[in-house]
Amino acid sequence: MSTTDNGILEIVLEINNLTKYYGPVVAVEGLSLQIARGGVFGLLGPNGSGKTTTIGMVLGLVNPTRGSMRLFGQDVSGTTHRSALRRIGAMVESPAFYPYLSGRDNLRYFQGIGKGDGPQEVDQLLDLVDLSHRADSKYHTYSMGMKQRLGIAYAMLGDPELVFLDEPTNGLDPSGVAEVRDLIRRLGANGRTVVLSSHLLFEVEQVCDSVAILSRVRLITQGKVRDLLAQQDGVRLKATDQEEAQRILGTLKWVSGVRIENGYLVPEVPPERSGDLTKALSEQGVYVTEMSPVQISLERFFLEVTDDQVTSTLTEGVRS
Amino acid sequence: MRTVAKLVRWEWFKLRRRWLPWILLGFLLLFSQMAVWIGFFSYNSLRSSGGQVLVSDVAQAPDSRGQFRRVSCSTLRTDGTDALPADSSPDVMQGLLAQCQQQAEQQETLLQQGYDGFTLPGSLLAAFGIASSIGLILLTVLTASAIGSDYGLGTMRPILARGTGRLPYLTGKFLMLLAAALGALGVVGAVTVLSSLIAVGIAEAPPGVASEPSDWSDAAAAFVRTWASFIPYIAFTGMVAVLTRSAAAGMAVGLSYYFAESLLGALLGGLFSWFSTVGDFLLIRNINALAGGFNIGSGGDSSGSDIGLVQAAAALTVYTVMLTGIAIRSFQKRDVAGASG
Repeated sequence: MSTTDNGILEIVLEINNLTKYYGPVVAVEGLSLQIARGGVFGLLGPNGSGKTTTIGMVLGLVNPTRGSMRLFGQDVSGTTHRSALRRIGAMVESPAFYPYLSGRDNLRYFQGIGKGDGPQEVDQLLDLVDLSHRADSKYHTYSMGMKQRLGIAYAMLGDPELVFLDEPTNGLDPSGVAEVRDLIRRLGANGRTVVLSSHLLFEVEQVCDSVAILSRVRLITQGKVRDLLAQQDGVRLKATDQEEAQRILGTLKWVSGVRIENGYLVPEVPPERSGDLTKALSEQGVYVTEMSPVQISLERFFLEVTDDQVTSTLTEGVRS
Repeated sequence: MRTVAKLVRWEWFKLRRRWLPWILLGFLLLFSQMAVWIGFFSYNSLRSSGGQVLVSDVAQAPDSRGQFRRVSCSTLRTDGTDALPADSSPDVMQGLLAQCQQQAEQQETLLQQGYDGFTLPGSLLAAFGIASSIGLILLTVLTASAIGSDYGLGTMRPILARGTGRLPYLTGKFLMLLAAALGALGVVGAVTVLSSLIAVGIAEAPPGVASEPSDWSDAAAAFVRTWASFIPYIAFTGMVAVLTRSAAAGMAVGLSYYFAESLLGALLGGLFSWFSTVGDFLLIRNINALAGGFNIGSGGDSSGSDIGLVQAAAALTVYTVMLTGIAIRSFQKRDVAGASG
């Protein structure tokens, strides 16, 4: 992430109390979040959690019911929004292009109506997304993967500082997913900010530096992926007497809880207190026979923070 | 303004790669050139026959029991007495030629009018007259498609996400359609000039000049009036496409209204006397009045029947401002969704 000359983290997007109602239906409720410059930011949430609506509001496609936004440090309104949008690239939901134009002509068109750097840029972007060999084929002949890649190339037109990619791996085969993830990581380098909206937990964990988790149209938590998961790291152990060990651990004030998972005791303590655990147990005549660190996945974290009532709508995605 | 100009340019970049506008232009040319060539063939038919007279197949038929046949005057002039039965008296020939002369005098005016219809600049008036009618139908299809397809394909989102701005986007669309209409009329004019030159090269001029040929300024006025008459209907179809977010609905409503106005107008006019006043302010009637042509949708109601040019221009200006205003306001206020199929 980039900082200003004063060492302050530079915020490219700031959303305050953003709300959107479609009649009686609440699409987003009081969303506030900040996205710093540089890296890949994940907007994670199940289908219907308000990710696409939020992106739509940032892009000026959806009118907010209330709330405010600041893009690149400027309040968003009318003309300033339009000029800010010229610094933003976006692929919202599925890619949408003109079927009767070639991939190259589609990019030329969108480059022409916005900010762009001539035919050379189009060629470079087609190279970047590995579409040069089909650049002059009509868009309607493209496979789903090629359409998604063209969508990413579109989002990169004009070398934007902030890029929104909404479910960019939808419909891709496993190798396509891996390619796109790799591409997203590369895009997030050199001071550019990529906002990846996805309901695929594994994907977000693999690619993103920071994440905001939305559930039921509200923001649940936000932070660096590493920090959020570190809060949940712990240890698991087996002891000579499991029941007694569970009882002893339950009496310790610095252990907030103990659960059993797959035959292991999982006390809720930070990993650095594992020595204290073995000491406390051995003092009571119970000995640890096996101990290993537990690293929580983003999926587990997500389920915990969202109270796992939305699990049915989540998929793990392709682990590649 | 620069943004709008850029959008018009890139809208054209997109439009010219579609089949639709070229097919529509083909139809426009086909119908407009019919004006020239139907006029040409009618003229030639009239001219070649040069009138006909009845000739008896026997030299003397005092009891009128002989057979009669039709002989064209041109044959009579070429073949002379050979076209008559043997032993016919010279008086018969004189009488028949006198009949032909009488017919020729009446035909002279018709021939001149026919000739003016396919020669310049009269052919342009005829071509623009037809273009004003057919063009309105074709432009309805083009307008609905140009605006509605961005909803259907879901391309509205990537366009607006580029910072295009809603007002410049819609303005660019309308201006591009007006430019396309202007260009199409220009092509009609150019092809008509070419057709006329070919037709004049083939056809022989009529004898004498009986009528006043059209002025070039009439042709220029027809061009401008035809193009101007397209503007309110582009606004109308565009507004429907924006409100319904659909190309199909834009076409359906645009075409239906075009034909329905005259039918309903006639029906309501018959039922209520006050409706004739209201009818003078209906869209298509005023378009017909401005175009000065003959529109299919008018049901044979020739232009400018009782609506003056100034009234038509004023009414259509109000229509254009109102319809465009509704389209722009609705477009600016609404959220933009994904593809609608």
